[in-house]
Amino acid sequence: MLVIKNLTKTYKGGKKAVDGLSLTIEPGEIYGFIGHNGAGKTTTIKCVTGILDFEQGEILIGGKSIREDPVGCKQLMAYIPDNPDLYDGLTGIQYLNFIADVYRVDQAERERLTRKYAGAFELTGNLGDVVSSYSHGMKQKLAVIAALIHSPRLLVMDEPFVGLDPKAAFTLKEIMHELCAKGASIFFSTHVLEVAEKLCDHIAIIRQGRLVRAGDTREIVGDSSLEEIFLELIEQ
Amino acid sequence: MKNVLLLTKLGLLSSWGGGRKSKKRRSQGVMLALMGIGSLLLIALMGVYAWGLSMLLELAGAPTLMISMGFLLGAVMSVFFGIAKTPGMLFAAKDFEALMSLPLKEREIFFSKLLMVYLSHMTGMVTVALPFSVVYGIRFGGGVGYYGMMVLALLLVPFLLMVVSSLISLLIARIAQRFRHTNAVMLVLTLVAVCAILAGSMLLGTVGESDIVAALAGMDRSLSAFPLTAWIVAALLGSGAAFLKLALLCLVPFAALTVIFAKTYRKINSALCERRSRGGYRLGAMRSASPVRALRRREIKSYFSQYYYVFNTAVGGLMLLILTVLLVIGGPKVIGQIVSSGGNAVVSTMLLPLLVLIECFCVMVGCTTASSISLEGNRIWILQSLPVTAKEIFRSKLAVQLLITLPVLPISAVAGTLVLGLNLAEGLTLLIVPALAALLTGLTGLTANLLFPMLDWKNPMVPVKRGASVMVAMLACFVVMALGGVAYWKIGGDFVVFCAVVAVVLAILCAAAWRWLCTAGAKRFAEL
Repeated sequence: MLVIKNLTKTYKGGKKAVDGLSLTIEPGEIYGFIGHNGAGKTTTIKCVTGILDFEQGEILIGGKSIREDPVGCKQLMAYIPDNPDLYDGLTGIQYLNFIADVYRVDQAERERLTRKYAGAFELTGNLGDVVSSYSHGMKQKLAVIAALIHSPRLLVMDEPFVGLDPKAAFTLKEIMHELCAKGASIFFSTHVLEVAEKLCDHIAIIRQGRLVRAGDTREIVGDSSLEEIFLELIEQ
Repeated sequence: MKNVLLLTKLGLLSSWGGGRKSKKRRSQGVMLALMGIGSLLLIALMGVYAWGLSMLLELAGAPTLMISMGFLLGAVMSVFFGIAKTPGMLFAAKDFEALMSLPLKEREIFFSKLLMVYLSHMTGMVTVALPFSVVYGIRFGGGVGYYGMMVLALLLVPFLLMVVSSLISLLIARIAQRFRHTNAVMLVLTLVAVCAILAGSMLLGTVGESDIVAALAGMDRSLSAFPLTAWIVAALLGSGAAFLKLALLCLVPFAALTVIFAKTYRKINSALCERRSRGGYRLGAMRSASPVRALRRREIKSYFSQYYYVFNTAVGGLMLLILTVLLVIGGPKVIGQIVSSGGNAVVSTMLLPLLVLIECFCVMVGCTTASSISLEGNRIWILQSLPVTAKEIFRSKLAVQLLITLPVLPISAVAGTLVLGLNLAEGLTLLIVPALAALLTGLTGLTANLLFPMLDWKNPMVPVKRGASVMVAMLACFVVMALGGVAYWKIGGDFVVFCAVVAVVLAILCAAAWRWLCTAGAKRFAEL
């Protein structure tokens, strides 16, 4: 579903934020992306979602190149940033309708999914209020619902559990499993290693823009804990 | 006091983009220098205008009207801009919560905000009252005492103006807060205030030329009876008692406001910041639309939800509407009176060209697209991650610009045609040329915003009021307009034929601008 080949992104001043990163995510997989602050996780995610351009390498989503067919790639995926700034002047339902319109979700389907996910996140009653009146967690939930409303084949999330209450975090994990059971793929970054260890089928550890380890979670962790493995790799 | 000055410095730095990386600071420095030069030119222009006016006033035997008019116009200008600015600076400012969590006294935060509001109200006084007063001193004799009093009056009057705009903006905010659609109410109330000021200013310009001397003398008598202007004039002319009265008039209400607000500052701000989600919504039918329509609807909603954005960009459309009404009521002489401000009557053959020029000015003066990309700010990730092309995004932003300019044009064209007794071809010039000017303004604004984006703002008023793209776009449009005016003045000939040529030129410029947007512009958007 997602193939990243030799991705290199350099910022002004010559600093390489991502250096020769390659990984593959198959349909139905939950792929965790972990690294220290400033390791290049958000840069990688933004390159995948077409927000940032890159100098070298290739990113294919569902076989389509993000460079050559960005609209086609974006049609297949959804992105949830770590700090979702949304349109303050719109109500929650207006924002969802906007996203659904852009992704051409038909009326019946959007009503069904809105009812389902807004109910799951207990946000239905607040959908009539403007986004500016929402708390951070409510905005995060709205961003998640908006991402799910068009049934993406690839869900890309940057630290999705930050700002979610425990119940909402649990709900999101359930939804992630449900999506993957239907063949979608999930690629997300997190600092919460316990969540990555329990949730992810595969993980990739990045350090200073370079991939240091990637593979099956159980194989990487072995008899140790992900925290120990991570600290060991980062310190080397 | 130290904290007050520190907070004020912080406020000024964040308003003007200080603390950025050196390259951005350099370009910010260039912008500030350009703004400084622009301000000096504006003051000089006011001085030239005041000089011309002083000759008329001398004839009318009312030279002191210079001082009254200067201070009154400066006050109106300060309050006019203060109504929109003061809410954001004084009440419910974005940094309110961050500052309140620091070990600072409430009154220190309040005084620093007050100082920033004071400095912003000085702008009107320095731009208008200062050149008017200086011209009076030069023309009618003013010694050291006169200029000393002038400086003191310029420093005092903003205190009173702050009280006026603070109370008006607080009233607007409190009324609006009671309604569900707060922004819409604030917008309507502010636009009503703006319409009143614009209509009043235009009506002032329609004073009959034969009555000009009598009108000026009458104005002098009226303003002499008005305490503020009467005491300012008397104080500048050496009356100590008048100066004391002026000082009391300006400082007592300000002191009262300060005492009341300093004690209740946190309470007022907390009440204004209260925006809790009410809940209770029930999911109903969700109507679908095409992606293009969704983008356009979103742009329009976002535009009208930011009242300072509307306030700053809809003025042109409002001016054109008010002018159209005045044209219907007052007839063709209104055009000449507005343009020459009560001077000589305009030759009838110039009426149509002037009206076309005025229409073009009105549609060009408020450009929504020049800050539309900057206003995406931290939310730009939404548009960049959606399966839409940059072209579709640009079209939706252009739609807002055309929405606030095009609807008024047919009304203005029909009114102009009927009032001036034009034929069809002449009437069409009132529609086609300004319509193309409106389109070019939108395209120019988008281009400028892609070349000079400002996404890292904390206060959304900054890209609207001080963005480089806004100034560049306005300058570019006025250059085009000026070139057109000069070209007709030099070449002359049949105006309809001239307009046909201008329309072709404008269409070519529009096509070139759109081409750039679809190619290099789209690339720039992706790189933001």
